[in-house]
This record gives sequence, structure tokens and C-alpha cells, in this order.
Amino acid sequence: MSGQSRRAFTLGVTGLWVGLTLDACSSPGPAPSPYSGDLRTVALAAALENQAASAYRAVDAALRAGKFGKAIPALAAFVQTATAHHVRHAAIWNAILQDAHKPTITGTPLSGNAQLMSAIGAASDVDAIVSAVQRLEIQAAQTYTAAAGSLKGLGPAVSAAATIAPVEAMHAAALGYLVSGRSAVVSLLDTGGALSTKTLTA
Amino acid sequence: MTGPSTAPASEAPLAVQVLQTAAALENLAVVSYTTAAGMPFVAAGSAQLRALIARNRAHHAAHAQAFNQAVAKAGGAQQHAADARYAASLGRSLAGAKEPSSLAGLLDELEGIIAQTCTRYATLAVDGSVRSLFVNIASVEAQHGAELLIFRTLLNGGNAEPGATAADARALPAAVGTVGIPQFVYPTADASAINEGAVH
Repeated sequence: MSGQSRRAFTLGVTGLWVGLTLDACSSPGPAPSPYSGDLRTVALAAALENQAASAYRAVDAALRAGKFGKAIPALAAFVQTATAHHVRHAAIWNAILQDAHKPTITGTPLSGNAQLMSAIGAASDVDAIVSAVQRLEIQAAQTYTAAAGSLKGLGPAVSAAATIAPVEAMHAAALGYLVSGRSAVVSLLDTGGALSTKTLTA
Repeated sequence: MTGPSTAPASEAPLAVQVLQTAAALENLAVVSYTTAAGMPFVAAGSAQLRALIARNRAHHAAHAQAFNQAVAKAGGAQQHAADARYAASLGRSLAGAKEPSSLAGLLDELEGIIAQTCTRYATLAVDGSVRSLFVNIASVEAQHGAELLIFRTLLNGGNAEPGATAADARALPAAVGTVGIPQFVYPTADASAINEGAVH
């Protein structure tokens, strides 16, 4: 490489670097999350509840459309009641955010949401779709059980975790029992399956 | 039912008392499920009910052990006796149960008392690991309750077992779908007083 061309190459790279640097300065990066500490855990919980409600609505739509053949009255009734529970749980978690003057979580800002909804949409039989929502229930119970231990102090978030985790666990148990007659209940919930706040994208 | 009370200053610390009471309730559950397993209509009846009773009994034994380990860690004496408040009355009720449906109803009541107690205690415990343990065990007892409620409803409706096959599941009435999930937040009104099972 001659001295001139080396200089031109160097200038070009420098120019590119300056351009990138200017670009990075001129376009705003992702906004910082409004949720930190315990409130990030609460926001994750609200997002999980919204996700569960969306997932059950998708199951309900599939059942109503006859995707899995003849009606399944017990499962359909379960799905409607569980949906209502999750909507109310989301309201409980969001009330804590609201009291802390933080924005409420109205959508499903979770890194695994698209994959989950795609799995529910692709389910070709009742077992597959029930397994998907059952996993959500168990994961929610695991997440709240872990959260009860990691939250600081004994505020409303601990009360919410303590009173909602058993309900999600009951949803999981009832689903397994109703559809297959097989129990999913084990001696202790595995908190290793709890979701991290890193999965929250808000 | 008596609500949770506050402990006199001379008693053991709150963490020790609630763990001892929780262990006492778990011990009561172990005794009750052992009694249930020996009932003639259980021994000669539904295999699913026998399996449910054996499995729940094992869970309660593990939970009693977990609470007693936590009590020892908190510096208290382990509780190996059954909860005295309920032991006699529940024993009498179990002796009067003559068929699976009423037995399932009694066991569900017991599961509810333990789950509500653990839920309540989770909101009182200062130590995070103890809080998490209470929520964990409350959730499992709540699951036992959900299954017992479904089982009982099926028996009352003339079904021996829940949907063991897809065809069976389609035949279940809508009411069976919701009986196991009766509330949207777990109640605590029937929680035991914090010193109910304290070791004296």
C-alpha cells in the first residue's frame, strides 16, 4: 500500500468512525426502563399476567373455532375463569405500579412472548395447547414464589405474590387433572424455573 | 376460626412461632392422610384416590421436615406434634367419613387451612427464604385442594376418575372445569394463630 492510499484508507476509516459516532449521538438510544428494584419485579408480574390472559384468549378462540373437534365443556369453562383471574391479577400488580407513580403494564413486553403465542397458534391438539398454558401457570407460580423471597420488605408486592402464586399453581394442577387425569403436583415448586426480570423488555 | 394473633413478648420470636405452627399443621396432615389410607373404602376403592392420598401424605411429611429445618436454623425447637387445635375434631370427623366424597371434602378443608396459614405467614416473615418457603408450600397445598375438589365433584357426579383419555375429558361437564379454581386470590381468613402450634 502506498503512502497516499494508506492515508486515504485511514481517512476513510476515520470518516466512517466519526460518522458512526455522530449517528450514535444524533439518534436516541432505547429509553431507560422506568422500573427498577422491586418495581421491576412487579412490572414483570403484570406482564406475565397480561401474557397469560392473551394466551388463554387464544386457546378460547381455538376451542370456539372447533380447531380440536367436538366441544370440551370443562376445558372451555376453565379457560374463561382462568382468563378472568389473570386479568384481575394484572390489575393487582398494576395498582402497585400506579401507587408508586410508575406507568402500568398494558401489553406483554416479554422476550419470550412471540415464541409462546406462535406455539399456541401452531398447536395441533388439545394436549399441546394445554401444555403451553400449563407451563405459563407453573412459571408464574415459580416466579412469584422466588419474588416473595427477593422482594425487599413486607409491602403490597409480597402480599400479591403470596396470594396469587397459589392460584396460579391451582390453575396448573387443575388443567393437568382435567385434561389427562395426570397430576402435575410435586412436593415443592422449583424456583429455578422462575423468570428473571431480564426477560422484561419494558 | 381465630385470626392470627400477636405474640406476648415472653414467647419465642415470631419467625420461630410461625414455623413451629406450620410444622404442627403439616404433622396433622401426615396423621390425617395416614388415617385416610387405612380406611376400608380407600384400601378397597379407587386406585386414583389411594395414589392421591399416598402422594399428598409424602408431600406433607416433606413439608414438615422443611419447616422443622427452618425452625432449627432460626434457633427454635422443632415441632413434631400434630396441631392440637384441630387434631381431636378432625380425628372425629375422619372417623365418621364412610365414603370417598366426604373424605375428600375433609382433606380439602385441611389443605385449605394449611395453605391459608402459609399464605398469611408469608406476609409476616421478615426472612426472605422463609417467605419463599411459605409461598411455595402454600401453593402445593392449594394444588392438593384443587385436585381433591375436582375428584370430589367427579365422584358426586357419578364419575370414578377424571379424564384419563381425551374422550373422557370431552365428556366432563363445564362445572368440573371451574370447581378446582374457586378464587382469584388465595384467602387467609382461616389462617391459624401464629402461636397455635408453638413448642412450649
